[in-house]
Amino acid sequence: MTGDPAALALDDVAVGYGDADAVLGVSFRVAPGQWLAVIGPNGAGKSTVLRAVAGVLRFRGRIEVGGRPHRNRAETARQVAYVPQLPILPIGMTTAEYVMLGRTAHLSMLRSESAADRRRVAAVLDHLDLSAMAGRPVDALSGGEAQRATLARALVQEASVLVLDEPTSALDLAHQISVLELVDRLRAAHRLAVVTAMHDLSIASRFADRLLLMADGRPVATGPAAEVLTEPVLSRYYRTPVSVMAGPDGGVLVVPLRSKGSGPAPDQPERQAASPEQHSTLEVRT
Amino acid sequence: MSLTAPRVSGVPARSVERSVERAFRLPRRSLVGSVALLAAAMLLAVSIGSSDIGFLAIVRELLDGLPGVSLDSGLTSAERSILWQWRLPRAVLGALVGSALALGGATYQGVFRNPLADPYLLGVAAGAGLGATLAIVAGADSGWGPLHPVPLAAFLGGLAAIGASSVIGFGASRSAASLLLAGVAVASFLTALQTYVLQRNTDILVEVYTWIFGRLGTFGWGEVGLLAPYVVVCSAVILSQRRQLDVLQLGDEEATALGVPVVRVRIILVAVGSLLAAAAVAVSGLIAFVGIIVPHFVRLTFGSNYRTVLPLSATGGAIFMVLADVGARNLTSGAELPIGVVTAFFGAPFFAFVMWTRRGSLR
Repeated sequence: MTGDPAALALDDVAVGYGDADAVLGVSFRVAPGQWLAVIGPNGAGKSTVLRAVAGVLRFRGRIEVGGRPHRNRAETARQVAYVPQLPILPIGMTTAEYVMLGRTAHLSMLRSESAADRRRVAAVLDHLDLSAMAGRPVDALSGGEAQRATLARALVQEASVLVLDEPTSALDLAHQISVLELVDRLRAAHRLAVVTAMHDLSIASRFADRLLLMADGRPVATGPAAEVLTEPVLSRYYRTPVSVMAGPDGGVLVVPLRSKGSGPAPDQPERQAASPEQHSTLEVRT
Repeated sequence: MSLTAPRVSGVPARSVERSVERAFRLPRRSLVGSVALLAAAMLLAVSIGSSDIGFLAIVRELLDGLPGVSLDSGLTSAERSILWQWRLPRAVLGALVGSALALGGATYQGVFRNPLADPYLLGVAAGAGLGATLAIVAGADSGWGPLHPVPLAAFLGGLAAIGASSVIGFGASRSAASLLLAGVAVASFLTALQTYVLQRNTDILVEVYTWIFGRLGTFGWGEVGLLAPYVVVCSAVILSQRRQLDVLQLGDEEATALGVPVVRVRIILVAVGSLLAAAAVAVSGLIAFVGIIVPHFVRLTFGSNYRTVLPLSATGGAIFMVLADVGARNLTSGAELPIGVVTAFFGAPFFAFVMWTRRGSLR
């Protein structure tokens, strides 16, 4: 690879589970401050690519962070912060303790966390509006708070690449936007290279600079949202008809269309009215 | 162009820093308190017994044993012998066994992210039981302290079981579940062998069951000398891995992404935890339950961070075992109760009480 080192560069990366290749021929570069969204239908290999970047899976080919290949786990953890789709929030651990785990790769095996580490955790908690939660059990946080706690843990790693697998899959609409806007602010403030796997194509088009569409473990299209999110491309690889139209904030709206014959039968109303028994139950309860 | 890691520049309010500082403060008060409780429990253990020796005379005699202190306790040489060669080694042995079992349990629960895990799960108990049974069947009942063939056979049996579980488990997969399944298979196999041997040798049933229910019968410091090095070295290794144990709570994938060599850490901790348990079992027999309830009591009461769980499990296990032995020696007249019976009889209701009062912490 030549020229300025990208924050993250993949060259012909393949990942196999057993004898079969789950992912093959993945190459892309992400510059500092750039956001790449990896999209594709279920089973396309999005999470597998992200896990290889995070150093969790063995891979063939080349993955470079800041112009250097992965060397060992601790160094990778200092360069790449990874949040899986469903992070485990340990029972009984406080939010501050949970966020401190992000400092692991910066600490030697025998050394306890220092005052500087604690200050860093405090700063990130403050930055993500989690200060009041520092002493609370992390498993008792609400969905939005928990997502911010996992981001806080990733941020104290002080890595230059932030890898998020479906960061908003468990959140309602308002929290989805608030978390993604937070990631966007952090990306801009710290020139983070952000790589996310995303299912919501409309939201991906609003936040990511570029999209990488994967299908059956292969990259099939890459570029800005307007180039990748087209009706022929999406209909072909998602195997369902879609309608694409201009959306807010320079994004696009992707609306899946109903396949012919999949609607409700004419004699079955879509939503049945509540039965009289249900009404009476409600009345008794009130 | 070199990339610089982003740094968070926000300066948090002092109160935020203080709340984070609080979250990471070592539980010094709890640690000092538990050490004081342990000292009190041991003093109680050496003060109570069939020979009536005055409490103050015992305190004076113990203080006289400290370097630079000279006090006349007024004890006869027989009383001195009871104290120094019988009661004190037994109390120290109880503390070491309790500490080893609780620390082994806490370690296993962390490594396997399973609240029911302890070294017995990988076959330590079954292997030690078979080893002891074979030694008793072979009539190898002479010997002294650590050189006695029964504890030696139990120790080797426990280690062999762990070895078999590890080879089978890690051979099949590097996952924790694979190791646990292998442990269950090995334990079942060894228990079947032990049952077969017992069925063929019914004359040794009482002797084997006496060993299985656990005892701290000791005279002199031989067993303490055998167990202490294991407890000191293994505890030091486990305490050095306390952060790794915390990270393992996130699961293998996240722990790897945070830079922890998961498989290596798991092998080290399983090996060290097993060694602790095998050494404890060899001198005390099979005392179940301590490795489960003591770490959980600590978690429910003081939080689940391993910086807290490990040292307080060690002191808590020691206190529990010393007090249980006081009960085993003194609750009934005549023969001692097996200590495993006492730990379960009093430990289970106490733990149920703690679970009930702290039910908000359980999820």
